[in-house]
Amino acid sequence: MTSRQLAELGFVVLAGAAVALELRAVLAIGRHGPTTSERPVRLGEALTAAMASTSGKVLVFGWWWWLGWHFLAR
Amino acid sequence: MTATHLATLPFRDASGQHNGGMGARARTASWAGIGLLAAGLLARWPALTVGSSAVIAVVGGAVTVAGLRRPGPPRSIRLSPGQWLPWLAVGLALALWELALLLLGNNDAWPPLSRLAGPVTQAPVGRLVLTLVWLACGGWLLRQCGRTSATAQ
Repeated sequence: MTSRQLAELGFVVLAGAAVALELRAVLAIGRHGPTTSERPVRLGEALTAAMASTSGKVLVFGWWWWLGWHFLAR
Repeated sequence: MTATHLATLPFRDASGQHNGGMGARARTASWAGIGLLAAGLLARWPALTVGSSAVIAVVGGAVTVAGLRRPGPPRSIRLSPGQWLPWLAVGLALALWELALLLLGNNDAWPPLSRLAGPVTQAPVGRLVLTLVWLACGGWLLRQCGRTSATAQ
């Protein structure tokens, strides 16, 4: 395995983990209903909860802004 | 137009309510127009140019300032560590992997995600689509900050 393939594999594994977490949350909504207590949460629900505080909003919007900068400007 | 000017444009909240005198459609059209203009400019200007940096700085700054000015989602939305830790772990792992690849070489042998995405981010159509996705995510974050209910949406 080349170093490039190892780098790509790392991203594939992490993307797979994110998809698995999202799928687990979607399936849990079907079992427990839409309330977020006592069930795995979707990425959007985690981000929304994080933005309930000012510091969380700074982190989430800063992260979003950095993504645009990293992939579209630099 | 500066980031602060853009940020003062009202944005529709989750309940569909608007504040200010402008019509809802005009406001939505204003934001859509700004987004399309930004996407068009970024599709035309490649990365590492003053133009693309300025567009990201102004539009990103406007959305960020608008988000920080909004009240935010209700504080009743509370999650236990067991609910948010898995997402934080994946996010941190992704950031550390990207950082490791940048430090290992940031070249074709050790390519970070930004380099792997090069064929997409260098093509005008790819830049257009990525910009629209990025702006849609920013719009979604803004709408979440205008939520008045703790129920899942």
